[in-house]
Amino acid sequence: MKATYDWIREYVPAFQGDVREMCERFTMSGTEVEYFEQVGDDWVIEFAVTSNRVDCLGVLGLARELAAATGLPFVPPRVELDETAAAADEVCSVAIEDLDLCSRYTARIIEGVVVGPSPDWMVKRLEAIGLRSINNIVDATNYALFETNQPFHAFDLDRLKDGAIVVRRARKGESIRALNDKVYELDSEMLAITDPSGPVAIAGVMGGAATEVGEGTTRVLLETAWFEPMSIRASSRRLGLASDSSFRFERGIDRGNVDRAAGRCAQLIVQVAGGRHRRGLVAAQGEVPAGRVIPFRHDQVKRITGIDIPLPRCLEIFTALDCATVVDDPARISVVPPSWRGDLEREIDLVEEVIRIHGLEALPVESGMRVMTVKEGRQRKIQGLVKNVFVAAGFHETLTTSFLAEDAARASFFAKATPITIANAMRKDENALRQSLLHSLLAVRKTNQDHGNDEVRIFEATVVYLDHDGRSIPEHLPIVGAALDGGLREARGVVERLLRGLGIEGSVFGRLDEEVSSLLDPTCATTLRLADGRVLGHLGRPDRRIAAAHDLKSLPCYLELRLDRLSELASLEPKYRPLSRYPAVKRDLAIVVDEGLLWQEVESLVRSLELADLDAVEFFDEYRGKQVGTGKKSLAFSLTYRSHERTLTGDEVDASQQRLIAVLGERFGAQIRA
Amino acid sequence: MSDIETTRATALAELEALTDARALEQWRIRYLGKKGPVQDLMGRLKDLPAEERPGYGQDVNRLKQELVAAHAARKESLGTAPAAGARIEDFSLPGLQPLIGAFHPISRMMQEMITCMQSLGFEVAEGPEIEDEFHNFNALNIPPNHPARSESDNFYLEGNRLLRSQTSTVQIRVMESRKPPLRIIAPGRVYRPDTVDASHHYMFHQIEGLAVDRDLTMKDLKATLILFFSGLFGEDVDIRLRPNFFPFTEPSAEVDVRCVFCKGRGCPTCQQKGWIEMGGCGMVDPNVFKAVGYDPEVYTGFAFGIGIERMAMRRFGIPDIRLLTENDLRFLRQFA
Repeated sequence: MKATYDWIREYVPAFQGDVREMCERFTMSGTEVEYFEQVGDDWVIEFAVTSNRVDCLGVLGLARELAAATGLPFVPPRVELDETAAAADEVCSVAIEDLDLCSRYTARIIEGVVVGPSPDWMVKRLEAIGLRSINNIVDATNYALFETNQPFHAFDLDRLKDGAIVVRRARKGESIRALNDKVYELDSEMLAITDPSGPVAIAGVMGGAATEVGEGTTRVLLETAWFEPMSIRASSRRLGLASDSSFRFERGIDRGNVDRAAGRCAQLIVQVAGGRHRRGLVAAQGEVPAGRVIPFRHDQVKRITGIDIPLPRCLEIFTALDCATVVDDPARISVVPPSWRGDLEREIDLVEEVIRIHGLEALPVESGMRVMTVKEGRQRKIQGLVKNVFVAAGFHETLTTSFLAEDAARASFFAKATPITIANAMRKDENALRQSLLHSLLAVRKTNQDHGNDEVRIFEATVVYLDHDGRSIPEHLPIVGAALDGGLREARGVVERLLRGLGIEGSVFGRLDEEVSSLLDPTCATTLRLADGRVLGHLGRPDRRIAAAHDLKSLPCYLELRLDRLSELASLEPKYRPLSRYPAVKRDLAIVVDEGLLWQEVESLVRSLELADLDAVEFFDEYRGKQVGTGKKSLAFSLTYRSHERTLTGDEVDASQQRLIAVLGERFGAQIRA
Repeated sequence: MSDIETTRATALAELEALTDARALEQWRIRYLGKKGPVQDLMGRLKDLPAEERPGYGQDVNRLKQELVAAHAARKESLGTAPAAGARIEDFSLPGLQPLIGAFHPISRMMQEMITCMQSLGFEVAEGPEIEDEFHNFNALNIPPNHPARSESDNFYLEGNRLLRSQTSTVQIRVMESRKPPLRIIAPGRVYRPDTVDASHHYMFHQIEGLAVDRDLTMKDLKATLILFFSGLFGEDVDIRLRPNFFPFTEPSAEVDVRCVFCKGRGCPTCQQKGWIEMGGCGMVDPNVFKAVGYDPEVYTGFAFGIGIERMAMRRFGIPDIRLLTENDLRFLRQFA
C-alpha cells in the first residue's frame, strides 16, 4: 500500500515531524514501512499492511493510526453536498436479490458533469502512488478509493437501461465485456450488477465497457456497496481478474463507511468535473450485524505484558482508536470497537492494542523465569556423535533438498514404498519426496566433478519419507548417507570405526541383500546386519546404470545406515578392559586358498579353535598372481598371543600355530606360503 | 712422559683437529668409551702397589674430567653445523595435514543457536516435516480459507497432507503430548513454493522457541530474546520489538537487532534501516492453547521463530543462498 507524506498529514495537520519521523511512528506502532522516497515536493511511502488491518489500505485509515500513535487529533475531510431539489430515486432504482452476497448497495446521481482531464493536484497524487490518470470522473473514484478505502464504480446513467439496477448472482450463459475490453463468461457463483438488459458490472471486481463513463457522459450513477468477501474472492479467482477494488472487498472493508464514503466520492466528482447532486441516496440493504461488545479485564494487561499500564491510560488508548468504552466496574469494562476494526473480537485483541499504542519500548529487560534443566534426546545425541565421526574421518557435510524426480525418489534401501508426490510441484524433476540419499549425494558428486574437485568425501544425516504402513503422517526415517572416492574397504572402514565409536558389537557384514541389488553392485557391496538379523545398512559401489545416469567418470562408494537403529544399540559408556603386563608374541601367516573363500570364513575358523592366549587376529594383505596360480589367492594375517599371567614362550606359541595350520589345510585346503 | 700425559696430549690434539659432530662422537667413544685409554689407565690401578694407588687414581680421574670438559667445550664450539652431505629437513615445506571434514554452515549456525537456548533451559524438540492441516493451520489459529493456506504458499501432498511451512507445528505437537511448564526449541526444515534465486529457496530452516508456564509475560520474552542474541552476537547487542501480526501469537511483534556492521547508522547490510529483522515473536494466542487443551486463563506463554539461512549468510558473509545447497567442496571446505 502506497501513500504520500502530505496526503497523510492533511488529516493529521498537527503532526510536525518529517517523513523519517512519520515512518518511524508507523513502524513502531505496527504498520511497517518498507521504504520511502522523494517524488517532486512530496514523499511516497510504501507500507507493508498486515493482513488483519484492512482498514489501513486507505490514507484515512493510515492517518487514523498516526493520530492514535502520536495522540494528535485526526481531522477527516468535511463532506457537504449541494443537492438539487430533484430526488435521485426519480431517475434510478436499486434492488438486491442475493442479500447473502451484498448487504448494502447505494447509488448517487450526479448530473451535468463535464468529462475531461483532472486537476494537477489530483494527477500528482495518483501518479505518486502508481496510478495512471484516465479522466476526471474515473480519477475522482480512484482518489476516493485510496483515501476512504471504499471501492466505487461510476456508470454512465444514460447507458444503463431504465436506470434500474439489480444486484444478483449471474446466470449461466451470461457474459460481459469488461473495462479492460476482455469478455468474461459468468456463472452462478459470481455476483453481478445488472440492468434489465443483463450484467453491467462484475460486482466488486470490474465494471462493464458498455456503461463506461466517457467523453459524452453528462449523468453519472455512483455505485458504493458492501460485498461479501468470499464471493468477491471466488469471482476474482475464477476469472483470473484482480483489481484495487477486489483486493479490498475480498479482505472485508468497513460496512459502516459506505454512505459516508459515497458522499465523499460524489463531492470529489463535482469538485473536479462540475455538475450537481440529485437529492438523496438510493439504497437497498440486507441485515447488518450489530456492533460487538468486548469485555475487558484490566488485570489482563499486566498478566500478559508484565507491566502496569493504569486504567486511565488504557481508556485513553481505546478512545484514540475510536473504541467506545463503558466503565461499570473498573476491573471489567466494556469496549465497543469501531466498524472498521473487524479484527478486534476478543479481550486479547484489546490487550494487544493497549501495548501496541503504549509502545513495546516500555518493556523493561527483566525476568523471573524459573530455572529448568535440559535433557538431550538420545537420537539427537547419537546423530551428533555420528556426524562427528564422519567429520573426523574427512567427510564434509552436505545440505541437499528433500525433492527428487518421482522416478529417482523410488530408490529406497529400507522400505518398498511408493514415493510421496507433491500435488503442486514447481518442477517436474522435483515432484516427489526422497526415500534415500543415494541420488542426492551422487548428484553432489557430479557437481564436484564439474568443478574439478577430487578426493570427495561427503555425508548427510537427515530423514527420508516412507509412506508404507498407512499412517496419516508417513514415517520420517532418520538415516545417514555418505559417498567417498575410494573402495569398498575404505567405506567399510568408516562404518567399522563408527560402530566402534558407538560401542555397537555383534553386527555382521554379509552378502548384499537381494532387495537392494538394483541400487548397489552385488559384486562389490555388502549388507550390515545386527546380531538379531535386522538390517543396519548397506554399502558398496552404486549400480552402474545409476552411476551412468549421473554421468560420473569414476564410481564412488556409497553407504547408507539407519540412524534409528544406531541410536537404539549405541552404548555410550565405554567399559575398561584390563591390560596385560606381559609381552606379546606375534606370528604372521600367509595362506593360499581358493578365490571364492572369504576372509570372514578364515577368521571365524581361527577364532573357533580357541587357541590358548590368542589375543588378536588381524588381516593385513591379499594377493593374486602368478606365484599363487589361477583361481587362487593368498591371504596374509597376523596372530598375536599374549597372556595376562606370564610371559609366553616361543615353543607354546609355535604349537598353537602348527595346530592352526593343520586345521586350515584340512578345512580349506590352505597351503602355507613361504 | 707418563702414559697419562701421552693420552692427554694425543686426545686433546685430535679433539682440536676434528671438524664435525660425527667425528666428535667417534672421539668421545674412542677416548671415553668402555674400551678407551682412560678406562684402560683406570684398569691398571689394581696392579700398582697400595701406596701409589691414591695418587695415580687422582691423576687418572683428573684426566677423565679434563677430557669430558674439553669434549663439552669442543661440542659447544662446533655448534650445530651439520656434517657435510647430511640430510637437512626443509622446514618450509607445507605440513601433511590430517584429513578432517567439516559441518555444513547451516548445521553450524543451528548448533550455535541451540547451544545458546539450551543454556537458557530450552530443550530441543522435533516434529515431522510432513504435516496435516490441523497442526499446520487450524491449531495455529489459521482459519479455513485464510490466504496462508493457499497453494502458492504451501506444498500439498496427496491425502490432505502438506510439507510444513513453519516449525510452529512442533509447538502444537509438544503441547499435545506434555503439560506445562515447558520450554522447547524446534529447529528444522520448512518448505514454501518460492522460486529459487539469490535470496529465496523453497526449502529452508527455522528455529522455533516456545515457553509455557503459569506466569510468563512479554518481559520474559524480551529478556529471553536479549540473552539469546547476546549469546550469538556478543554482550552489547541491542534489540527492539515492534508490533506485527501473526495468527498464532497475540500480542505479536517483530524482533530487530541493531545492525552490528554500522551500529545503527544505516548501511547496505541493513538496507539503511539501522536494524536487521530477525524473526517474529509474541505471546501464545489463547486459541492455540484451546486447540491443545491448555486453559488460557491458567497458562501464558511466548513463542518466537527465526530463519537460520539469513542468519548464517550474514554471519559467514555468504552472498547467495544457492551456495548452501550446491555443495561445492571448495565452498564446504571453507567451514572446516
